[in-house]
Amino acid sequence: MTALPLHIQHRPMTAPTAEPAQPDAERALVREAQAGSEQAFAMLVHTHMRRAYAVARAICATHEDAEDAVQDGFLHAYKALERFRPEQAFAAWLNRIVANAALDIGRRRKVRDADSLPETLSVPQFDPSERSELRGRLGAALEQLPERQRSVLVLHDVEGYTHGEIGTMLGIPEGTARSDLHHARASLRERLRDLWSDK
Amino acid sequence: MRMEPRIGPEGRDDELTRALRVLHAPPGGEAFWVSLERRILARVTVTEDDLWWRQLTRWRRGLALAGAAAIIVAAMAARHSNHLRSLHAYNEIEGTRVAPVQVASETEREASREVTLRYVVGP
Repeated sequence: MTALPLHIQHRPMTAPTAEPAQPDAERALVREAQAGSEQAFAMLVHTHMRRAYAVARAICATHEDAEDAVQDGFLHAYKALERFRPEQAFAAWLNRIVANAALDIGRRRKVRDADSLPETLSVPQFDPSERSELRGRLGAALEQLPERQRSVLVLHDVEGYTHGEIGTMLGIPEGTARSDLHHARASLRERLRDLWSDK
Repeated sequence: MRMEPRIGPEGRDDELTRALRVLHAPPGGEAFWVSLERRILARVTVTEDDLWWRQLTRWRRGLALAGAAAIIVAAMAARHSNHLRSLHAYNEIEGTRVAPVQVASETEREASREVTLRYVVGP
């Protein structure tokens, strides 16, 4: 791989913002990126990577997988940019691509895990200083949820996406997202019931 | 004492949601985002494989038009060449005289008559 072009290397790496650009400005950026401007695409990355990470993290079991999914997602988006119609919402289009990348990584991990010994099964890594009983138990309980239910729960309750948006991202009907959310919450409450009982 | 989870609007459990947010928070603060941005850009910015692919994509429409034009020109050339060949063949047929054919067949006929005559007249 060659080095980054100078205009990207020298661009000041300011703190990324999660604020989406104005629709017109963003449309112009997308058009520039489609015309081959790497700087315009870099601006799109800068603007959208936090949300993209949140989407990937909701689907992936680990932070590392989420990072890989975000990188894969942006790479796929870059290659598919020619096919993007500027009248679409760029964030929704990108999130769908990132969600697919995250689902792909999850599928590949399942295959790898099935081939390896049970001791090597992935467990989310938590910062020990932040570990509390609830968080520790929650992490374990989340691991036991079906992948789609976990994704729907996090995308809705943590990231604030609507059922419709989640359905679009994960490629499932809105009603399925709604019912997955219901089952995921019920399952988590059931698994963590004794936590509340002990307090 | 048993405590029930605090269920908020839309069935959201506030305590669970808080814990989920901590669990899913990206590590490392701003340094993490800067590093992630660099890695994303490093992956999407021109790679060796990308070069030909991007150029091809950029020139795709032009290449398609040029290809279509080449096919049309080739078809027209083939048609023209066929036409010329047919014309040439027609001219050749038209231009051929009938006489030499008649002369040839008459010569053959005379030769065969002579053989018969020689047979009859001969010893």
